[in-house]
Amino acid sequence: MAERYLRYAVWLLVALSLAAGSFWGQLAEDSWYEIGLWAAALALADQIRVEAPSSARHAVSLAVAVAAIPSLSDAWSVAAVFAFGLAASRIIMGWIHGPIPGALSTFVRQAAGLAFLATIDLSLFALFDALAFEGSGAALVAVAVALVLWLFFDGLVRVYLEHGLGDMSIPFIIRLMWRDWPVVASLFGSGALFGAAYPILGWWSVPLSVVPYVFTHVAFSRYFGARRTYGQMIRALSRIAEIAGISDEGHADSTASLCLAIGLMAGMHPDELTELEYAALLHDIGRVSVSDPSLSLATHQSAELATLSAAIIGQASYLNGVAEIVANQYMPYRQPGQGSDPEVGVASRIVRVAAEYDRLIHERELRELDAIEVLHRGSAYDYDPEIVLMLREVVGA
Amino acid sequence: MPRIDLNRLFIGGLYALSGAAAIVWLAQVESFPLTLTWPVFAAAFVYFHWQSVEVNDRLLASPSVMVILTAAVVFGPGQAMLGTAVMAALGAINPADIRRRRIFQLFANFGQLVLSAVMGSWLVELTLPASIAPATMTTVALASAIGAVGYGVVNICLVIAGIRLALRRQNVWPWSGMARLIPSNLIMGFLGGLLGATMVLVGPVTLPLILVVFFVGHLSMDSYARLREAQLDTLAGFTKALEAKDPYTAGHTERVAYFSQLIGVEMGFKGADLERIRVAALIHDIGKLAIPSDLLRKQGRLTTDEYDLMQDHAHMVEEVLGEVEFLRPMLEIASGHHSHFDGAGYGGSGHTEGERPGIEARVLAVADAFDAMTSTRPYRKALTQKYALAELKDKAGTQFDPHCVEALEAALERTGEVYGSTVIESDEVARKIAERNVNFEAPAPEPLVAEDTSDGRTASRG
Repeated sequence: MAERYLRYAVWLLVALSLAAGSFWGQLAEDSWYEIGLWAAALALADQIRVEAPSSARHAVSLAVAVAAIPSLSDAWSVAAVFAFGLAASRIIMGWIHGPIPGALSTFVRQAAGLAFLATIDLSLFALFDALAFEGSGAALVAVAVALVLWLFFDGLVRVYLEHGLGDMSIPFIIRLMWRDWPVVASLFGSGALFGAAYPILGWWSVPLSVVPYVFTHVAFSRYFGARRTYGQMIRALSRIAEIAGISDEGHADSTASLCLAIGLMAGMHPDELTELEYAALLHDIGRVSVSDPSLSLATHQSAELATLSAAIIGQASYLNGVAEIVANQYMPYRQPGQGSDPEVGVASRIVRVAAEYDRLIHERELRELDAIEVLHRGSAYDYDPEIVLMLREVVGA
Repeated sequence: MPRIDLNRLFIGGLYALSGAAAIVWLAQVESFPLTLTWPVFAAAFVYFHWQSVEVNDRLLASPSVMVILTAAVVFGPGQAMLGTAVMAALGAINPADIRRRRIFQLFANFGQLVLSAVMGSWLVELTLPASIAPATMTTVALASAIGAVGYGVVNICLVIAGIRLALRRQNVWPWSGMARLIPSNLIMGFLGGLLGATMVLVGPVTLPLILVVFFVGHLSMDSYARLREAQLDTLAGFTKALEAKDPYTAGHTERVAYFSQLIGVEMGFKGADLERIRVAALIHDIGKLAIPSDLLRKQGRLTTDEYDLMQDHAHMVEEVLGEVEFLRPMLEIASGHHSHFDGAGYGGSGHTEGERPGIEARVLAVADAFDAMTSTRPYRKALTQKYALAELKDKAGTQFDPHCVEALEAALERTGEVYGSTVIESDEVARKIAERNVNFEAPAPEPLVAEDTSDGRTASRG
């Protein structure tokens, strides 16, 4: 509760300091007042974070930075605002949360991001000046170019730190970098709106840019909150069969973690990984609808069980992809005399291999290498040998 | 070929004609804003209008209202009404209506949107200051806020009147519901005025910037709404699985959800509270998935052990779904659906021996028992609605909350729907018929649950 009020207070302070900044800013260009107020706004907005699809938490200070750059008269002022703002933000954070692990590296990353943004913006303004390109069009082009470049810069840093760039293809890296565009675009849009309106409208630009952003911010936090609880729900539902005693304890969970590890190795996109995880968790949920419990334990893997599971999952159209993975999971990855079956996707093959491996280890109590051996022997039709190799690497056998 | 309803055709036609007449008249008295911004406004309005997100939330008015008001401020007197009326007309031509051949909707929406837009813009034209300058921003924003309220009031009045007249449904939307829309319309209108003034003073660059922010917010809201729906669909998938396991409960969950809604509405529950009861009803039997099917289907007398195991389903729901944050308030309700008004019964956290369960659990208990009695079970055939209601009333004050029972009766009377068997009046008759009927899949002469019959409680296993 207290945390919530603190957050409201921070919002209020950001709005007030923006208002004060625009008021004082009209008195003297780049006075220390102004620099101090922009820095304060930056520091306070930095306390508010918004979750993004990549699960990075972007700081709202980005919007303040976008607004500040065109409002300040030279690069030195911009540098001063960013430096003071970020430093003050760290002091406030330390004061609120105590020491944060990895604070220095996030600080450096954020400072680099802001410096990159300032460089693009200031060079674009200089370029447009030289070309005598001004007005609405110039402002819009500047925002759009800065947005795209910043998105790629920050995305590249994020992807590099999280995954390393290793053997990922360039289109795949671009897909990863592009993931956070909605969040970043709303921050840039709000900041640029403030920056454009503030010289003429003064404090009116505060509600103009803050209210739409608040709407969007609320929408984001609702969405990501719902996404989290959805994941919780899937995990909870996946345990029904275990609670009922018709499925082996922990089978769904350990299959899911194996699948995630293999999926990462196979270079799957984070969204595909989520689907893969759900499919692994629910791959034999069909057991709960089998009326005879002895039957449901016996049919540990069968086409029928896959169909039953897919039918339960498919009730939610949102999970159509997951239902398809589960339905195809029992299909042989190739037929005799034919090549690999394109109908059976990578995710289905991974679930098949991981689920069988987990069963061999826990139900038949085989040693890791023996279990892998069984899978190798079944590689003609049932278990995709490439996936089996990846599994072998994952379990270190 | 769907049956043509003359009444609906007449109302739809009247709305559409009024809208068209307004545009024709405005074309005489105003000039059309032939600017590059008009198509941008029109596109934004059409997008936000077609993609309206339905979230049970009073905070979020559709940004389409804002777009209309911004346009009205930018076009100003002499152009605002005609400019926004044509935008609204475009917004009314919704491809989803055309695809599903909903001619009435199409006609009615056309009139309703055009007249609302004209009202909103007219109010803006009346109250807008002579010149837009930083000094007159307050007046502009206020003018626009007034316009937005006018837009909202006309819009909702026409919707309610249209539905009441055309569909002859009285309880469609309480008039008091309108008050809820005013604050969000005020905010959107205020913002629309600000944006309009900013566009005039700063330049058109501000429009795409603010639209991007709203567009992204709108996308997220849409995904949020879809995810919420997906959560319920996923739970429904598991309910279906339960029905596959125990065919006697086919449709039970959905009917219990429906009856709880009937009772809840009758008792004055609204919005999120009503939604909570509905979700609790959807999950109230999920715990049964963890109960062996042969027990669920057992036709004869249950042993004490079996009875205990059967009772587990009420708190099993908490064991299964306890870690899902958003379901927590619903779990307490669901786990109390076998808790009695006088504190007897059984259940999970929603049940405390000797204490009255929460009101939502009491609603759910009545809905659950009513459906259990009016549908066929392994141990007996369906009873009549009359008998079921009499039984509920008989146990009101001990097993059931009398207010909930009254509410159910009143609601059933209002809807005029009848549930249950048409002939079987009592449990005893039902049992006798069941015994004789060879075709009946589950000839179960035994009373429901051995322990429960001694004190004459209307127990149901589901």
